Amino acid sequence: MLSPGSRAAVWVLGASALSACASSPSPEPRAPVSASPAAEAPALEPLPELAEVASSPHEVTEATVVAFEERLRGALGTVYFDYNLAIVDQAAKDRLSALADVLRELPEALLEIEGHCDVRGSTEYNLHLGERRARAVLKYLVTQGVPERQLRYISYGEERPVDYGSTDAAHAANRRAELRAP
Amino acid sequence: MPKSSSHIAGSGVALALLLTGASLAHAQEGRRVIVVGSPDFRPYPMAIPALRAASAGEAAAAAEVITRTLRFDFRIAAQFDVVDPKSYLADPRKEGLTAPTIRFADWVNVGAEGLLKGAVRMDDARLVAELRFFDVASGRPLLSKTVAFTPETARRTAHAFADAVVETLTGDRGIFQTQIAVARKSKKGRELWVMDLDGGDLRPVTRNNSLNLLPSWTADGSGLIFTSYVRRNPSLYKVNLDGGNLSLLSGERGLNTGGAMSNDGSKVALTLSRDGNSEIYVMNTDRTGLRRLTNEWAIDSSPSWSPDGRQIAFVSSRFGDPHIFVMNADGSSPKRITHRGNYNTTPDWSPRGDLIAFTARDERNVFDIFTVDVRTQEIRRLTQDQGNNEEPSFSPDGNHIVFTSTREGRSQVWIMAVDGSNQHRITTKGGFMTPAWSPLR
Repeated sequence: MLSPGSRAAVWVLGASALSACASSPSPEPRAPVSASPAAEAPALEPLPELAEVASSPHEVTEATVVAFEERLRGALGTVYFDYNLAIVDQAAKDRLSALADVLRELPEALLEIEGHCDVRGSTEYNLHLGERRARAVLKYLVTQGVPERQLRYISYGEERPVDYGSTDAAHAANRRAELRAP
Repeated sequence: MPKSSSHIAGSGVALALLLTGASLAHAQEGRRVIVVGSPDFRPYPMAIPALRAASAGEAAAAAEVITRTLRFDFRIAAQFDVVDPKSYLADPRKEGLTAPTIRFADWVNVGAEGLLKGAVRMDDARLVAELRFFDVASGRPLLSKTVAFTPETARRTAHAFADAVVETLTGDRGIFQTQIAVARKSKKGRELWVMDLDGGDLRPVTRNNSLNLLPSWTADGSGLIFTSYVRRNPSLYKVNLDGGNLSLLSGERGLNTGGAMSNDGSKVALTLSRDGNSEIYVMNTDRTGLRRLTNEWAIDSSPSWSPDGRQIAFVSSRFGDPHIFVMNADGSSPKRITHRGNYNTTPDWSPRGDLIAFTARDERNVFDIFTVDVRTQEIRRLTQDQGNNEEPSFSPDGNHIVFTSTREGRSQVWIMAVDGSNQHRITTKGGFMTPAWSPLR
């Protein structure tokens, strides 16, 4: 059986997200790293045939879980946002749909969505903007059939930037929702 | 003085001069009313010659601390100016502490209206300060104190005398013994700290290695209300200044932020996201009677009470960009009061009731402090071309604002007069955020 510690909501993302996630405790990225999160996201790596692996989740064994994770756990994904907005763009939606497939296949997997802002602006407003971003991701996953009980969210506002710089690229890298296995 | 705003205030608004003027009207029984902001306002010029020490060592060191502290206090005070000590004509070796030994003409000639003098001596191994305040024009002593103190309390002894001088002169309580609460970056998160008005005695309130954010004061000044991730969910807590008596005020799912206690201490306004969106609520201080005041698709946050407790200022992005709004304390009649710019946040309502200070992002993406007149909606810019200036909080006398500024690199705590003049840094280290000025105790 799956134990909570071994469960991971996993999502192989393109290089752009990996570059901004360098400081998060995620495994080494497999994909090449590009400079800017604003760069167009490369195509996803093909997903494994989940239907075969996990169509009956209660029969999943540790071995298949490990295999599943090894194949899929390239990185924990990140969704990026425009300034002062909490709108999930179409490219992110496409990738989230693939993630939603995984979460539906593995109904015991949990996903935590962390909302963040760039370091400009007020502490309190950014806490709420960060939560709005996390909830925007959550809402989209729910529309893709992911049960809300699999989803958690928390906002850190501007308190946990991945890039302490003050360039536009740094701000763009910080305006994000990180998807993690809790 | 700051220049008038090109962006927020718009053109054609004559700003700064309105407030620099001084009015020093004579009230009954020699009391003076100094109204910062009245058309003829001019700060009251105070001469503060160095205190004399009867002996070297502790007395001399304490005299130095008291002199420095008195000068700091009257420099930052919007109602006062300190006459440049380098200009003083009086001979410090000849002049004593009593009126007959003072040549008041020497003080008139340097432009002083008030004169603070003092001496420190050792009395049976105790430090004793003699402190005097004279009206220069009449040569009359207005205040005289003899205080025993220790090296550790020298600064506070000076603050207490400065407060007594302000009260003697104006009838209003001085603010020099008030305190500033801040969040400050730490290795593992953010901790809350409290410091004296001059940045002295910086001491920790929280030490939990978590994120502790957005401190505000309880109405009686005995503790802080703040948001902490210490139990993971960002909940609202109350804590004593010494870090004791931590109690949960609001632990709703999601964000519990912006806790603000009404002046009478009966209610707490706060921002909650428990209903799936950030909205403003009010509850009784004992956690009963929670009710929702806003209901918008947008972010509503950062409540600040009017001094009479009848209205609440807040931030709302209901029209897209965040702006400052005012509503009645029951949530009725919300009204937008900032109409320029596209990022106005962190409202703080003046204890006088007339102004709301806020942070605005200008067209160059720089953050500065502004005030808006609640009645006329007139905007005044208080900072400009000096790094990012954010998170204003009014002093309890309404004459001053504490804020953070990056003008010298790291984010430090600064104090200015409500008209933007008289800007002084009060911290020496960096990493400070969201200062909150204590009430009078």
